[in-house]
Amino acid sequence: MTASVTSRRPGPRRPPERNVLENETLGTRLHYLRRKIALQQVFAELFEKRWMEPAIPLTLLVGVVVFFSVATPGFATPENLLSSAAELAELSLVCIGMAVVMISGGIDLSVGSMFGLCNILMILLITLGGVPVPLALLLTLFAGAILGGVNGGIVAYLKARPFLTTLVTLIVFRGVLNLLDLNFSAQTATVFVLDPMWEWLGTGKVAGIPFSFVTLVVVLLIGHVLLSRSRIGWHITAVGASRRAARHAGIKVERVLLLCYVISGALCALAGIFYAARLSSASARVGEGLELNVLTAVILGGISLSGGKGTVWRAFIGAATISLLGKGLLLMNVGGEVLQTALAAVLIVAVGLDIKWGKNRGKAIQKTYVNPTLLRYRPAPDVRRGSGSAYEVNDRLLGAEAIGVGEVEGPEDVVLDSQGRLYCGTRQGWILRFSGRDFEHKEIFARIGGHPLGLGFDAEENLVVCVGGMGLYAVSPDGTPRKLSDETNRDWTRLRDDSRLRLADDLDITPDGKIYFSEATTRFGMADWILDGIEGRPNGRLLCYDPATGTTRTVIRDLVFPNGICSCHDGESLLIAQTWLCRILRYYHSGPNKGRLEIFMDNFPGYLDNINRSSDGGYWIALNGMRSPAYDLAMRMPSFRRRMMKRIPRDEWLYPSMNHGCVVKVSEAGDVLDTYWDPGGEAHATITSMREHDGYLYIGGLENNRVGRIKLSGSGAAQVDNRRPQSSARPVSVN
Amino acid sequence: MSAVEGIRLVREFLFPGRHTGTAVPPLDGGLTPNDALEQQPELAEVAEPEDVLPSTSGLYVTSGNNLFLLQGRQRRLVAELGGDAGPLAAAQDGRILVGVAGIGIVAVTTDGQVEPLVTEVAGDPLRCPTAMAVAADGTVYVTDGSIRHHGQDWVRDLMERNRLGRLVRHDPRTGATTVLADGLAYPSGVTLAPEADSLLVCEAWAHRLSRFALSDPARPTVLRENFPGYPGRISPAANGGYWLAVFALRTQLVEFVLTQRDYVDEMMRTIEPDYWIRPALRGLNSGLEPLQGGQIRKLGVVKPWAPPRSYGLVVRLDECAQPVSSLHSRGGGARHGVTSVRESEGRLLVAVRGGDRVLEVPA
Repeated sequence: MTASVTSRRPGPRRPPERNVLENETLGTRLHYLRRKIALQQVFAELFEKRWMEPAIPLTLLVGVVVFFSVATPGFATPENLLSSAAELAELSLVCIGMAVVMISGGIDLSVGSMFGLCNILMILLITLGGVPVPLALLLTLFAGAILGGVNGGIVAYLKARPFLTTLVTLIVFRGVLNLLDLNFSAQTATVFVLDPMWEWLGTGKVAGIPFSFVTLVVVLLIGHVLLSRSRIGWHITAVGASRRAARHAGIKVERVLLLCYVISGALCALAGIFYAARLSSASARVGEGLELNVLTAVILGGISLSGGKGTVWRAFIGAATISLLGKGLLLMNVGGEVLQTALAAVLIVAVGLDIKWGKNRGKAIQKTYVNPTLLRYRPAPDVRRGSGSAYEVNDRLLGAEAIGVGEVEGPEDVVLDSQGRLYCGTRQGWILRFSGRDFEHKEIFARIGGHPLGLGFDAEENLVVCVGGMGLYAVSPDGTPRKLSDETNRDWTRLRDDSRLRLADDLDITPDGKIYFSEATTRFGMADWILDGIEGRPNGRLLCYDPATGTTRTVIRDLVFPNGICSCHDGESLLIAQTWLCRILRYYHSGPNKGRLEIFMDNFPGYLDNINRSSDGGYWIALNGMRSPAYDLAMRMPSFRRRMMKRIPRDEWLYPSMNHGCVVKVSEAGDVLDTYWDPGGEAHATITSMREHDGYLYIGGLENNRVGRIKLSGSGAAQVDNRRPQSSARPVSVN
Repeated sequence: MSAVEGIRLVREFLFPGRHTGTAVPPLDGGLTPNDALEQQPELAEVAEPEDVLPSTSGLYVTSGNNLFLLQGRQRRLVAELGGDAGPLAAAQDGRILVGVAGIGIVAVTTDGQVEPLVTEVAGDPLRCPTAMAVAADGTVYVTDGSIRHHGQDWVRDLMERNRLGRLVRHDPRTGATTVLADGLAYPSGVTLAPEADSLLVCEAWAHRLSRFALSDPARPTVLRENFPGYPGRISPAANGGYWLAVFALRTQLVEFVLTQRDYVDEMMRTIEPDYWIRPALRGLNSGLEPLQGGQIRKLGVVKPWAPPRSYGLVVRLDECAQPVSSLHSRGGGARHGVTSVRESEGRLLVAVRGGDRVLEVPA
């Protein structure tokens, strides 16, 4: 009860717990350090990120760039990269169009023909047609959209297959292109366009970068926002993922499909315009076979052929890889046939890897997500009968009266209001209220939705409740629930976004009305508490909700499973129960010791749950289970726990001994005064909470089917104010 | 992690499902769970009955260091034996043979005279007699569970994965004692085949039942292997076949822990045996015992399918040692740790060591 840390640093505090016992050797300390580092966890959390999905294509792209930069001297020069950039921009634009169509579940084989057709159209318009460049530009874009619209109309409204439809339009558009070429291209060769805007389209640079590439970046940004953040983007993805489900959800599937092909056509037109401006070549061969390159690039980028998956970035990555690979091989003087083969080989390997990656990413995360660490306890106090320890097992809870047997399922916490009515949460997501002389009248006070855990009354008799998986809620006296908070400030040192509350656990309200509550773990949900136990890492935090401002902030982070929270009798500090450490911390939130964090009690023989004030100036502490020597040993052997998790199913895992809980009463100074056991655990197997009220002690448990109550004798019979501690140093007895 | 374990992991990765050892077969077929053992009438309450032997004068029961004779509601102490009294057998001369842990085989007359019969064999003391069978010619066959541990220390033998058991023959006419087979994984039950030409021996830690031909005991044939539990004493059934007492079930956790030598060594060194991860004959209902996920008491109930630390199981085997029916006491039940089952005069006598009872099951 000594180690204390004070810090002037603002922001969330960290607890004094590396859980290294004092006087350890350097070797042991290093051992702890090694177990503290969790590289696997970093990987798991990194791979969990959505933006890690195109990891394989991106790696390939980087690999291609690095390889050619080293292998070919001419590759990494500015000239080469700039000229590549212009070509890349055109390819990428077409790829993005293709990607959008593929995400919507279709395919567009006519991109090459559309590209060529728009190219010749643009040239014809400004040379033979004499149309001003801006107008010609718009007309060509419009023409591209019309061409796409033809595809889309047939696919969406005539319900034709995209593959066949676009194969046919590929031939049709190519035929039109050939016709135009036959009739007009000879004449275009004699006309020179001197429009500066036309020049600029082909060779202009913005800050040294070709204009077409800048356009591409803009298109990418717009495309990204549109696809991932806008309604229409979500509709496109939904249609691609499951057309029927999308239709059932009320999405106008035909319109979405049409739009996708129109986008594709317009982007082909844009690419065609840049091509025309750059090369002024009105050849019928422009864009021949382009669809194959584009398809290769898009698949290489990892956009699924079956639709519903993909981003514009993936299309770009694929296009860049293909384009740079081609350029690099060309610079190495590799022949065309080798180039094709190399492309094919790279494609097969990359696509194979990407599919494996996409399939197994979740599994890989799952396998590496839980990272047991080293926890070493001091020898547990002997609890056996006749041992003479303060925690000795007794029969005091055997005669407990049962309230609501079979009617409550999992009352994690219990609380009584000023009229003596009893409230408890259940696993169905209800808060039950028992009233009457023997609590014979039961009613559903509120339906919350998540499992209500910690309960407490504020000054206005609102029932404040921590709801597992949801956050902090308040229920007004008439039973209307209201959300207080479900997020806090994010911890930027952690990879995963922990701003949402995953497992708000217990709360208490300080005399100034602030609600301090614990979030047991930020890494696991309510159903997976055991994973946090097996991990044993500091994943939890203490939060504070200020009703005056309506905001929540993190007070202490990196706590090992903070569970019970109790505002001390002095009104200046809080007790924080740390379940897996079997340790209680005391944190001073105000007063002369403000900011101080110290160990209040340590080395309990069981796992701590809720804490409450007792009427005589002490505290009630619930132990939800006992420490078994076998589990203590397992906590010293992290790799044993890891192997256990991998090798055998969860029902067979070694668990903390949760069938044997007890209630401990301690004094303000941290001395054990009393214990209350239910030795067989028949009625009160887990004990997660207790509440003193009017001379009785009420007992709740996460896995129990009742609330128990026993009459307290002697000093325990005083009235305790469950709402708030008195501001004075001494507690006040009413009786 | 040791190199061996590393290689094992690689092998498991390359050939998943090929490894043996941790796959515990499910209880199905003749072993389909029921609650029949819970519902059987009890004959007597005896503290930790180890073996039962019906005779004309009553029912002999070993319990603790004592040999009792139950006659109706009466219980008579026949002899105190100075060690954990284990298996029982009726010798040809009318005396009762009792295996006593740490001592060997003793012969007890009906008036309580105790005389040591076999105390050592082949130079090693016979300290862990686990079962006996007497042939028609009076020859006694004994299984010696382990030459290192005996009595309550059987769990140490399991945790050390020992194969130190022996099959022993004692000829009362010549007094000669010979070892028929050794290196057995805790032989825990023996009985004669109906043709009296071979012995059936249970090896608890190997979870199997083997036939040892008397003419060639060095080469046993495995009759049935990979039992989901640890087979104990076996005795002939009236209509052919056998009764098998399975004193505990294998669990995936125990099977897994047995492969984790670093954990087992540390556990054996620092923790009391009662609180080990192990099969047991009874639950202590203490929070100091290790708890498994499925054993959590939910809404006041321990699920019957909970991974069993202790379990009650009596199996009826057919002539080929195939389980045909069984009596169970499951998770949450009380009649765990069946150490002996014998059929006599149309009834089944079951020693439930963990439940402190002798049951009489109408056959």
